[in-house]
Amino acid sequence: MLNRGVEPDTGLLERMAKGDEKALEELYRRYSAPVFALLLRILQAREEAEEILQDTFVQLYREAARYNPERGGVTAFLFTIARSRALSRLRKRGARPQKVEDLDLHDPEQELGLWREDDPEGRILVGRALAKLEPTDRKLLEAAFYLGYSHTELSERFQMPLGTVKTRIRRALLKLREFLGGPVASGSEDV
Amino acid sequence: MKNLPELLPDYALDLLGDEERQLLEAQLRADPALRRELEDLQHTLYRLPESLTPVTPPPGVFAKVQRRTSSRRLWLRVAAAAAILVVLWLGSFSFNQYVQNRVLAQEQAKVSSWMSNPKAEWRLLKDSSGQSFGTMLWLPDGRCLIVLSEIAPQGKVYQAWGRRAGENPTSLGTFSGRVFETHYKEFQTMGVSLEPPGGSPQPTHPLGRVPVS
Repeated sequence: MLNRGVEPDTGLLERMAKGDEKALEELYRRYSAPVFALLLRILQAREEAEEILQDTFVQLYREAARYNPERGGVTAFLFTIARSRALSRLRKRGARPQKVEDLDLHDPEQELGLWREDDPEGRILVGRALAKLEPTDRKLLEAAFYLGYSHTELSERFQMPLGTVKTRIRRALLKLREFLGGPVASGSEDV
Repeated sequence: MKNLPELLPDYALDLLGDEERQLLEAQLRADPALRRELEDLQHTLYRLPESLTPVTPPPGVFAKVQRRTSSRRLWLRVAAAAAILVVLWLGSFSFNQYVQNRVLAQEQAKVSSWMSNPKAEWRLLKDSSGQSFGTMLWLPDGRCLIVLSEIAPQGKVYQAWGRRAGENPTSLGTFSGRVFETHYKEFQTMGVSLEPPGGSPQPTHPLGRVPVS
């Protein structure tokens, strides 16, 4: 987040740690839509996603003081809380969700919401980076991330040796990082 | 025994068994470089949800969050004090939201159209601290599209610039939204600055630039 009249996420979290509810409101305004999309993707159930969305922001508010900016960005902190809660809910259910046909967030034809107001290029870049991954590697990474499958479960579902699953997931994440680095241009000191 | 850094992707995904996890955590406590590598991988991993289309949650959810984080007394006091303002605000909010949604939809359509062109190339626009504040896409025919992370702050506009070697920057126009289409063909670098409304003859608050030749 740039500091050009817009308060950085870390500043909001610091204020929130002191009990400032306006800061919570601003973080909710910035991130509720992407977090809700993540929860819908994991849970495939709107009512549960709403419930976990509430839990996520309540936990963020209560644990804001624990946040250490040296250990990653606010979005990673927030998404970690959301994903962890959603996966716990999935495990309690005892079965992974079946994909709901009318709620396919990976269907580019289906426009369920608008972009995050402050970061329209993020989705493009991540989408492009994902598209560059080897398709099976991508599926494995997404199944581990969004559905919390273990190596063994992935091995069974994808009918692949355990070692291959491990190798492919590692490769997928490292490649994703490489692709997100992008062809970076330097020389931004002035216009 | 595996090389410990090799376990980091699995650790980030919470895929390690107890024994390997404990071993790695012991090493993480002692090795700052390993911790940084883990944080870097976690940062990458938690960019995955950025690929999802954001979905605006129902309007009542935040009120429920507030109820759980505020004392009931405070909430009631704020609610009573804000009641009249809320009625007024809702009227203006609906209209503002409508306008904002239309602009976002138009910007989205434009960028999607560019991204679907296989000839389009892109580069990140970075500020002096190295932080990305947008992306520039360009086509071989000389057109380029500047896509910024944020709309211009209130009371300011963005101004696009092209620069030839050894010359002052040439203004390519001002804009206050996130997306601006212009041309790059005769320039060596393209940049963006933040300016007062109407723009400036030369950049007063440069944000960053990228080479295009």
